[in-house]
Amino acid sequence: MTARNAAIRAAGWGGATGLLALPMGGMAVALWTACSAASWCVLASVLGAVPSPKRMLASAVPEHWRLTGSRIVGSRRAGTFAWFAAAIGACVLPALLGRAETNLAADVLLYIILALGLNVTVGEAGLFDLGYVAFYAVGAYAYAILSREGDAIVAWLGCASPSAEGMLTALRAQGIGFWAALPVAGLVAAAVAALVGLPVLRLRGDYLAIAMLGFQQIVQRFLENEGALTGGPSGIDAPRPAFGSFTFRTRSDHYYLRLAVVAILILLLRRILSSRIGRAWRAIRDDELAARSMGIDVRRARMLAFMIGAFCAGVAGVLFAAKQNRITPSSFGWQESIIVLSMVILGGRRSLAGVILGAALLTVLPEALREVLRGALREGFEDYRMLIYGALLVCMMALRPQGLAGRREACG
Amino acid sequence: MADFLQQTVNGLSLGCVYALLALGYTMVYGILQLINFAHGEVYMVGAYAGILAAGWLVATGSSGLLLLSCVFLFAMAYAAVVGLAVERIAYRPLRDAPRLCLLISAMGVSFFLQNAVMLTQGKGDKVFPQEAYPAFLDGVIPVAGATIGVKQVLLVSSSLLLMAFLRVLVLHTRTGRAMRAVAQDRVAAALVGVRIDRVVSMTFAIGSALAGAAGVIVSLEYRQVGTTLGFTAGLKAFTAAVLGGIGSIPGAVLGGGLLGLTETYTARYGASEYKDAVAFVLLIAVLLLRPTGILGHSQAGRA
Repeated sequence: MTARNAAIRAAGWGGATGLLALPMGGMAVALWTACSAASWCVLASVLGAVPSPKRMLASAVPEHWRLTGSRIVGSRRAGTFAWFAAAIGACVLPALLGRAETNLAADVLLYIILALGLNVTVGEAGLFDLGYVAFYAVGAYAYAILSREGDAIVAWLGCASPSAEGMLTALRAQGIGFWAALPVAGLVAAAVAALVGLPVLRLRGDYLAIAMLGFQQIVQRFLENEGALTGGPSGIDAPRPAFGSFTFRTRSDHYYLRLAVVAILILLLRRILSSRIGRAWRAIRDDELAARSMGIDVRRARMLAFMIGAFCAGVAGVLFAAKQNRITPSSFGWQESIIVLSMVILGGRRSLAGVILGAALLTVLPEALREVLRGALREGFEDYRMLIYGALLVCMMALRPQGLAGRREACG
Repeated sequence: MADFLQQTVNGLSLGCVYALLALGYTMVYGILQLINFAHGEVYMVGAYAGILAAGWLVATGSSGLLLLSCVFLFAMAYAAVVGLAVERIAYRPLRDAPRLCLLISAMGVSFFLQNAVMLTQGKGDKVFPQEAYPAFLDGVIPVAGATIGVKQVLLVSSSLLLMAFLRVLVLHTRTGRAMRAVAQDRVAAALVGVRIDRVVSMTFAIGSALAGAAGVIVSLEYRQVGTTLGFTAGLKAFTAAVLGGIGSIPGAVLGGGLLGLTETYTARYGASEYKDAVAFVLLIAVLLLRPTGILGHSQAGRA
């Protein structure tokens, strides 16, 4: 019942986004929003948040007409079909969109990666990580620094310990390249998370949130002040990724690159969430004491969630830097953490489809508002945008605190 | 030595601002176990309200101490109203909702207030009107080689006055008793007839009024304020509250003073570019080593 409601609401929200998006880019975007709303619903059904079309169909068919009694097999087949539909929909998308819309779609994908990662930390493990954007920054800077000629790293490390210089001679010649940096930067972010998490994860609730907010501030100050390594406030260049002789230049190149990462990430996360550790998170969430007495290592499970979240943020950071070409500390302000967190909350924690929906909605919404307001106001629309965004967050929490696709009992 | 004394005076006057803000955090936390993330923005709104009031009052021809008191009163009243509205709109509907929802709601309020001020008052910094600024504030009192500004004395003493007033209010009035009752046990307080909503509103109003006063103090100190004033200051004031022991009123004052001193000493004798980071390192260290803070009780725990 609630699941069906969620499906109807998801469709409704998709339609609402479509309406908001109408003035911004004409038919193309409306079409895109409609497509994506449809694919979200399909995706939602795959991920089990709402009944699959097949299951809905099955319930309309009399009992004795059904060929198999196994709902699981049925929904799995429908799932595979829906996956293909969503994948194809996403693949043809840039062909339907203009330049600006493709850019926006690429941003949506980036935020989907960030939100999926934060969902593991916040939704699955219940850790209020308000410094999430710090790991995003770590990933982006790791890519930029590792891709740069090794001299700067050696010089910076040289101040700390001259012996490190020998180890890094290999790096001197050239950076490690995009494809190696993608996982490495993710791992660097995860390693930083492990270091921070070791002390900080002993805190709970709001206190963890505040401590992480503090950590984010420290990272930002570090990026601003350690100019020799990070380029200081004016930022650092990051190279474009290349595959053989092909360089990722255009917006749609980056769109597909990100789409591939999103696809891999969704596959991975689905596996993780239904694995032993995923079940451990669920058990801890339901009853920590019971989980502990069943032999679940709560600290380890929380740490893993924290690190997996950070890994996703690190990977997102590399993708951001690769498209941006130049990254500055100001891109990694605390507001970004809040925006990603509100995507997770708005969409509905612990539902991959919900999180994806939230990320898409909150990325498209400010742009849609921009277009709407540009018509209504001559200047200052940029500020009204964030004003409305803030008001929307408050209304959303008052009206539907469990998120669009979340279940009420999941609001813990 | 003279320099050290000078830094100490500077640190204490900065600490007063943190202490006034920390009081707001600690009171709300004591009553609702809620970190009011929008508190920093209320402080920023208070600073703007004070500057606007100063502008109007100069136009009416008043000046000196009378003007300053009026500015303080107006900013405090304005901030109190904003605080009440924030509580009513963003927090009350969510009182029994999960903490994360309150957090998001508070962040929404934060975005809203920041941008609302930016829209109405312009993006640039707002300068405290020169004509409204009493000249006697720039006077100095030489003490053992250091110079203590009249302004610093006035600001520190007005902060202390407000804190003393708060102490009397909380310990010796009926409202204060109701507040303490709600802080101890909300359900039991409701059972014996304490009107919870009124007490919560009262707490927000008082905390926000103190934040408004802190806003005026900062605008007098730096002569100009920006819309981004609230966030960092709010975070640091929260640090001060945690440092002293969240939920404890003397703790907030102590924590504010300590933080102000630490920050000033770091800026002077340590790495000035990491001045802001020190507060957060301190925050994380306190949370880990003594989460109840210096004067906190164990039930204030780690939530």
